[in-house]
Formats: sequence, structure tokens, C-alpha cells
Amino acid sequence: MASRIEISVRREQPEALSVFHLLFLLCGQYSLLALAACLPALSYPAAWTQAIAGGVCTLLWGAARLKRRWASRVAAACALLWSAVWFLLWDTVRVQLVQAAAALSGAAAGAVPFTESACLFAVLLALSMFLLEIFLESHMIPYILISVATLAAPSFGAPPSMAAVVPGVLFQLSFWAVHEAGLRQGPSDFALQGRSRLTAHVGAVMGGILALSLLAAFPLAARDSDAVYAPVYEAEGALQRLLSHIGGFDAQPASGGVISRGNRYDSGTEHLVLTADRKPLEPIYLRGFSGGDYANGEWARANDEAVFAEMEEAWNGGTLEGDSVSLRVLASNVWPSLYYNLNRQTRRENPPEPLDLLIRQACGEYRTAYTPYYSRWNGGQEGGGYAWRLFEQRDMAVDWSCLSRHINANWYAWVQSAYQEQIQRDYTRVPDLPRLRALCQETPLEGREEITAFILHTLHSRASYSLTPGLTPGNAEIVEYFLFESGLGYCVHFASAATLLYRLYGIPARYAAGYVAWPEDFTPCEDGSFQAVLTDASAHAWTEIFVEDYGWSPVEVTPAAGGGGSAAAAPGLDGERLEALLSELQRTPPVHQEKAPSSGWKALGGSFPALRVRLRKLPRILGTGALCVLLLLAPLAWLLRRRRLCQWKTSSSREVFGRLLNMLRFAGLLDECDGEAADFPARLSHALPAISGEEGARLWRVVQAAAYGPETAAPEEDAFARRLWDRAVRAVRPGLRWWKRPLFRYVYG
Amino acid sequence: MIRQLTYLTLAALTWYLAGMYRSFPLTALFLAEIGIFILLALQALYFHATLEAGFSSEWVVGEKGRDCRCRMYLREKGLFPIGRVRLTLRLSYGDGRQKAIRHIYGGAEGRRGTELEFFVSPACCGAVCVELLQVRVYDYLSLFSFGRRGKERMTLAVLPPARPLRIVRVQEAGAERTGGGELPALFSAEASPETREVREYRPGDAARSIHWKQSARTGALWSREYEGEADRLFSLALDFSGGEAFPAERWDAFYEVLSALVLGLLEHAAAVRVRWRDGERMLFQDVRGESDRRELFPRLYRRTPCYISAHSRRDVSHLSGADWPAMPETGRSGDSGADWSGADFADFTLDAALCWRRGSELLYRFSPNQFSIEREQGIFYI
Repeated sequence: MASRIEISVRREQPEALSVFHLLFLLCGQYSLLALAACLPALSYPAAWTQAIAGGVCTLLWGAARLKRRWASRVAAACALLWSAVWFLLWDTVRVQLVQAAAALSGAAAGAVPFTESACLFAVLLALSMFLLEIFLESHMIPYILISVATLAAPSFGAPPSMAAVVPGVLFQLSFWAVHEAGLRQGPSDFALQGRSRLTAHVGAVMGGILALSLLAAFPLAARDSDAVYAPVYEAEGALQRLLSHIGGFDAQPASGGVISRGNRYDSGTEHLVLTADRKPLEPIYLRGFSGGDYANGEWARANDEAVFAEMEEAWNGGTLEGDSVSLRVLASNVWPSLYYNLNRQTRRENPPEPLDLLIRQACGEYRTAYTPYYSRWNGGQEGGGYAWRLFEQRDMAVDWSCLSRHINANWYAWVQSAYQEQIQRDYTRVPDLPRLRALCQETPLEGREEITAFILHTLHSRASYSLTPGLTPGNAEIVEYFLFESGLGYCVHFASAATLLYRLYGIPARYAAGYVAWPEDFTPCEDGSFQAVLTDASAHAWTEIFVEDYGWSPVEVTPAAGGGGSAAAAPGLDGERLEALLSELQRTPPVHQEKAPSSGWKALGGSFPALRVRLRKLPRILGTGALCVLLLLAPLAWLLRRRRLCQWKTSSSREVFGRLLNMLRFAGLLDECDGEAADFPARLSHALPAISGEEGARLWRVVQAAAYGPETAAPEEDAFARRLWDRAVRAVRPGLRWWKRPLFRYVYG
Repeated sequence: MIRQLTYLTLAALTWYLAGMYRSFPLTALFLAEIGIFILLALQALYFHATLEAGFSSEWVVGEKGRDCRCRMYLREKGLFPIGRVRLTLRLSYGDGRQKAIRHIYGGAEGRRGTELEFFVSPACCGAVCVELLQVRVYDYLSLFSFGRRGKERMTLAVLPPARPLRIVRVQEAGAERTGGGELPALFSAEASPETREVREYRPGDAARSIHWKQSARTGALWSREYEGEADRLFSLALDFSGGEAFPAERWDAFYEVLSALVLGLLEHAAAVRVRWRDGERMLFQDVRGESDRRELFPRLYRRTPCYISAHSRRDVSHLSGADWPAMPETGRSGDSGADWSGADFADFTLDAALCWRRGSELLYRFSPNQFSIEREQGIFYI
């Protein structure tokens, strides 16, 4: 169209970089480097990398402030130098990178030396951020980088510290605000006089808003962080339940050896229906899974048949002297109900009656059979389900000397001894878990009671029961993370840790998963039987240890599930001695207290209200606090100065004179002058050559007349005094020391 | 909305990770993010209440083909600087067909206000009405914004470029008259002018009056002043009738012709008196140079249908003529009752159909589309 109206704006030449730009940039790269320093897998002098990156950034900023063109040359020189160093150190850096990758992925344990690579990355970071933010004015990439680094750090086992989070957010918000205010590119940008001043002020006020919000957030987060997390867990639980319901997973019974790395959310779906001919007096553990070898947070299913095969090989060719029966065949047949039969065949005055238990699975699928301890298979049922006859633990009292003649005691003894020898080899294997191993090595113990007491005490003092312990970092060993860092977990974590500790002490132990039915779960039915409906909330994990004459027996180590630990009731243990040992241990604080605090003020180094500040964290805490105060004070100072400047336009000559005297005293020019003496004009002129003696005399006369005369000074005389003040400020400011200038600017000037 | 959702999504992710990893810094960060979100909403509301925006002047004069500089002010009455303001402008010629809506972004700080500068490149001469449709103010992260309708407006008077028509008086042209080519030549049987004096060149003197020989001899420019030229005054009457429905392009051609004609006539006279009818009144403007020309066209734009329709869409009181924005008066303009005596009188007429007449005689009819060629190549004899 010929008459189309075009509207355009002209972009101003980029203005000189302000100090705010440097501060924001330093905050951004400090945040990223502080996040990297939180990675326990890397070992390098973090302070040095901060210093190097800060130096490079300041160098570039200084060059750009003098002349923007110089910054590109300095950046190019730095890049060349960086490339040369990279080339020279390539072999070292390559090895470090490979080792770091392995450590970060959890494939390797321990901290990797990373000094050279960290320094190179610090320089690269400084160059990249300066290039992106100042030259390309592209804020999005650093913004995303810091956001991703902050949010992803916990999944690498590096929970971000406040010292890393606060500068990062300051950088993000300030640069975001600055870009919105002035640097934003668009189809119709604007040309604004004093743009950099405006953007700097906007950035400063944004920093103040952040500081205000953080100061309000700290006490809220510290007061009750669990209340803050609760909606998250509820939301995730609801989502997980919904997905399980849609996928049909919620009705399937739990069994497996994978240790969960997240929260546990129960849906209340029925899994098992138990029917007993009488009400049990003890909890009934229904084992669906027994864990053998452990690796990478997962238990492999224990294979008794393999154990029997190994037993046969290890035991005199697999046959009993004078007998032709194979040990393997014998064990396969006898072992599943060995201890039930032994107990049943033990003669006594009042032989206990076994409990008949019928198990029906709600989903109708019977891929996993849940086995009670000290039981015997009693066959499948027509209406679905399967039955067991079992003894409760209290009824177990095997006495080899009183065995019935109906069973061959030699065979049973043979199987037990062979099995016991074999599992001593098979179920005491532990992978490389340095911290767990060190814990056991530092506390050498013997005796089942001592070991059990120590394990219970360790677990209960270091960890708390929670169905929502949160996520475990992807590269962390889950049992060690549970015991030494998070300190939160539920049955699978407690059972896994206890099993491994038992094994480290040489006691054969297995991880077991299934369901537990408590006596109170059973309700009477019309036909005289008792029924218990087990939901997914009854799914449980525990440790089983091998006890002579009992076989595999459950040891409850989970605090909540066991009501504070019922291991004292475990078979084969001296209950009184165990209780005494536990009491003794509880009175003695454990040697190790490295458990990471979970939340709240504990994360800052202590507990509220008795805040125990750790000295090594003091600089970080003080630095964060100082940063917050600075962020709050900077906009406040700016606002006060602005208000003062507004008021200044209507100040009287007397007010100006008073301020002039204060300013000159602050600058050390007229220390002992009160302005009353008649030689004031001469002294003023002497101190400030920019102000002539006549001007000084006129000011003095005006002020004297205003102070002692009948009328106030005329407006033009007030204006003269203010003009004189302006000149005095300009004359005084260059001669001040650098540390006096901020105070001069915001207070006296 | 997208920004708010993005921000809240990021906050929700922070919240989730804070809960999942039980991280105190992330928890504090999440709560701070929520606090910032609320504070920024309040901030946008506060800015909305404390911002004033408008045009720095009601009239701006520019020239066709060049960027016309316009200014707006943003004044913030509160404590904090405003990072981002979006001003929505509508620019139109008033014919209802040519209009454009544009956004300008700016920031404001201080009660004294901040000036925003933008440039309009109009393709047509005439009065461009610039209206402030909306003022939208944002918080620092542009998460929230509040807008209000603008009431301000400004007129951009776009002048035609200063390119004169090549007009030659017959007495001066002599034998060159035949050089007019195919274009019709105009002839006026006036006496040949004689040089009254030779004086130093003054800025604004016509090129034809330069005494080249004298200039070459002395090394400085000299001008000839012809007998009677110092007192000569041409009168040019404008007839706008029939042009009420013309689009902006057509009025653009009219103003271009008028400008070229006035400048061309000025080569032969001390002044050109342009007369036109405004309602019941007959107005005139004496044009003696560039400054007069720059006054003439804004005055003409005020009464042209384009301008009236542009300003009458919302407020019919502007038709009265009493509320026109004040323009500087030089004393060389007024009603038609002014004194016409003492001038070398030659009365021309230019009507909306681009017909140039002397009395009732049609001297030339310009083409709206070919005028630039006619101006560049044609020589017009009077």
C-alpha cells in the first residue's frame, strides 16, 4: 500500500556496563561453581575455581567498560590461552573426565581428583556467560543452565546449598528484570535515555524483592518443612495410585527384591485374605521373596535348590555314610517343612496344636506363594487359595533328644548341618559398600545378641521411619544413602541395611519381602474361624537370619512396623541380654554422627531452637546472611537517596549549610569548623578552591541572615546555596578514598 | 498467561524436588518464588496506579520521505522505577483505510518522567493522527500486566518535500521556450525583467538568479535582483470542493503539487499568497520562504476533510475549529480582508482535481500518479 505508515525506533548505542552487570554475572557463575562444588564425587579446590572465574569475568567486564571492543579482544586472548592449556593438559583432563563420569554415574566410589579440569571449566564458564549475557544479550541459555543445574543437582547426590541457590536466583531474576526493562529485543524496541541507569535500578529493586521473599521464606521453611512437603507427597501419591489403578498394578501382590528409591503410597487395595482356625497370638510373616545376593540396590532371589546342589558337592560326595540317599534329594524333600516336622515330632507333655492357615489372593493369580515360617504345605483348596499348617514362634521347641521315632533324626540333622555350613558361605556375601563395611570394622562384635543389639541401635539412632523419605540420588548407593545421609526410610530400607550388617558380621541373613498379619488383623467369623484381610499397606520387608533348630527366622528391624523393634523376641536370642545391651547402647552415644540432617534448621548446621552452628559452615551461613542483608540494603539505600534528592530541591540555605559542614567534616577538610566564625568563607575557599571567597562570603551572609534575621532567605538565595553545594560535592568527591565514596554518595553527598 | 504458567511450573518443580530430596534450600527457594509471585502481582497493580503516559506535544511537523521524530512521556508517581510499559498507538490518515497499530515499549523512572522517542515514516503528506489506544504496564518479570485505555492523541503534520516546480517566465526564457518538450507550455505576456542590482548571495536565493559570471570572477556567489521582483506577490487560491471523499494518496498528490507550485512561483516573486476557504471564512497565508511553507501546510491540514474525519470520529467538537491546537502565527496570515494592494498580482487557482488555472483558463492539469515525472521533466511557462 502506497500510503502505509511505518513506525520505527532507533536503537541507542550500547551503553557502558554498570557495576550491577558485573555483580550479577559474578553471582551467576558463583552459583554454578558452588553447585559443582556440592558434588561429592569430585575433589578440587572450589575456592580457586571461584577466584579464577571471578578474575576472568572481572577482566572482561573491565575491558568492556573501558571500550566494548577491547572486551572481545581480551575474550579472544583468553579463549586462545584456554585452548593452549587444554591442549597441554589434555591427557590429564581426559583421565579426569572419564573418572568423573564414572563417579557421577555411581559406577565408581570415592572422590575423583578434578583440579585441572575444574579450573579449565571455570574459565570456560566465565567466558561463555560473559559472551552470552553481554555480547549476545541472550539470557535464556544461562537462565536454563542455572535452573537445570540447581534442580538436577540433588539427583546427582549434590543437594544445593543456600550459598549456591541464592546467588543463582539473584542472577536469574535480576537479569530477567533487566532484560525486560531495557535490553529486550523485539519488533519495536524503544530508545530510552538513561536506559542503563533504569535497568540497574530495576535490577536492584528486583534483588530487594528477592531478599525480602527469602527472608520471609527462611523461617517458614525452617518452622515446618514437612507441612510444605505434604502436598507434594499427596499429589504424587494420588497420581501414582491413579496410574496403578489404571494399569491394574494395585491389585497385584507385592514381591520382589528391588529396593524402592522413592516414596511408598498405599492404596488400600485388598491383596490377601487369610483364614485361620484360631486367632494367632503372634504376627504371621508371609514370605513371598527371599533375597540372596545384593547389588546396586537390588536383591537377587535366593535359590535354595542351588544351595542344595552346592551342599551335595561340599558334603562327602553328597551321601550320608552308610546310607544311599542323596543329600540334594533329601534336602529338597525335607527342607521346606523340616522345622515344622521337628517341632511336631518333639514329644512333650502338652504338645502345641499347629495353626491352620488358608491364604487366598484377591487378584486370583497365584504366581507367588506366600510361605509362613515353621510351616508345612497343606495343599491347595477347591475354592482357590492354599493352606499351611504352622507353629507360631512361641510354640517352637525342638528337642533332638525327644524326637519321635517316626522320623529319621539323622537325616534332619544332616540336612541342617549341611545347609548351615553352605549358607555361611552363600548368605554372608556383601558387595563393595565402604561406609557400611567401615562401620562394622570400627565396631567389632561377636555374639548374636551383641550384633543384633548394635544393628538395631544403629538403625534406630541413625534413621527414622517414614513412608515418604523422598528420592534417592541416581548415583547413590541406596542402603548407604539411607543409613548415612537421608536417615529416612521404610521397611525395605531398614531390612536391607540390617541384612547387610548381619552379613558383614558373618551371620547368614536374607532380605525377605511379603506381608505381615498382626493378631489384631484377625476378626472372628460365624463358622468359628478368624479372617484377616491384608491390603497393600500390610506389605512388608524384614530380615531373616538362620537360627539353629528354628531355621530361617524373621527379625523385625523396622521401628514403626515392629513397634520400636521386636527383635528381642526373635528365636534363639537371649531376650533379656538383648534388652540390656540395647539399653546400654542407648545410653552411650554412637561414635558416628555423620547422618545428614533431613530438613529445616538442621540443614543449616543445628537444631531449632538450640541452633548448633558448625564452625566449618559458619562462613557460608554468614556469607549468605550478608548477601541477603546487602540485597535488602541496596534498594533501600537507593530509595532513601532518591527521596533525599527530591527533598533537596526545596531545601533552605540553612539546611544546605548544615549539610555542607557535615560533608566537609566527613571529607576531613574542615574538621574543627562550626561555621559561625567570620573566617569561614576564607577557610572554605582554602579547602575547596573551586569555590571563591566571594561565593563563600555570600553563602555565610545568607545563612547568618536566615538564622538570626527576621525573615527567611529569599528563594533565589536558597537556590544559590544549593548550586554552591552541588559544586562543592563535585569538588570533594574525586579526592575521597574509595571506601569513603559509597558512604559519601548515599549519606553525605 | 504463558509466562505465569511457566513460572508456576518452575516453582512447582522446585517444590516437588524440594520435597523429594528434602532440601531446605530448595524449600526456601520455592517459598521465595511464591512470595515473589505475589509481590510482583501487587507491583503491577501499583505501577498501574502510579503511571502517567502521553504525548510530549500535540503537534509534530515532519516531512514526507523522512523519519518524523515523535516523543512521548512516561511519568511514574510512585517509589519504584517501572521496567516495562507497552504503549499501543494507532496511526491513521483519517480516511478510515490507511491505519496502523503499533506497540512501543519503554520504562519510566521518576516524577519528572522519561521521554520515549519513536519515528514515523509516513508515505503520504497530510495529517497523521496518532492516538494512544492503550497503556499496559508490567511488573519486573512481565508476569502480570494491567492495561487502561489511553485518551491522548497527537497530530503529525507531514509536509511535502521542498521540491519546486520549474516555472519560467516568458521574458526570461526567450528562445528556450521551445525546450518544454511534449509538456504543454504556459505563456504569460509580461515584460522582460531587468536586473535592478547585483548583491551577495543569500541563502534561499533561486539558482536562476545567481550571477555566474560575477561569481566566477570574484570566487564568491553573487545574485541578481530583478526589477520589480522584490515587490511581486502571486496569489494562489485553493479549491477543495469535490475532494471530501479522496483517499490519503490523492490528497498526498494535491499537497505535493501545491508545495511544488508555491516553491516554483517563489522563484519569481517575493511571496505567494495562498488563499482558501474554511467554512464561511476565507483564510490566507503569505509564503516567503521555507518557514512560511512549514506553517502553511499544518494550517491547511487542519481544515482538510482528512483531518476533520480523523478528529471527528470520537469528538465532534473538533469540527468547530475553535479547539485547534495552537500554531505559531507570524503575522503573514489571516482572513481574506487583508490588504492586497501594492503587489504584482497574478491570481492562480489549484483545485482538488489538480487543475491549475489562471482565472478561468486551465493552465495545466497534473496527474496524481505521474506528478513526480511532471515535476522532474516539465518546464512550465508563465
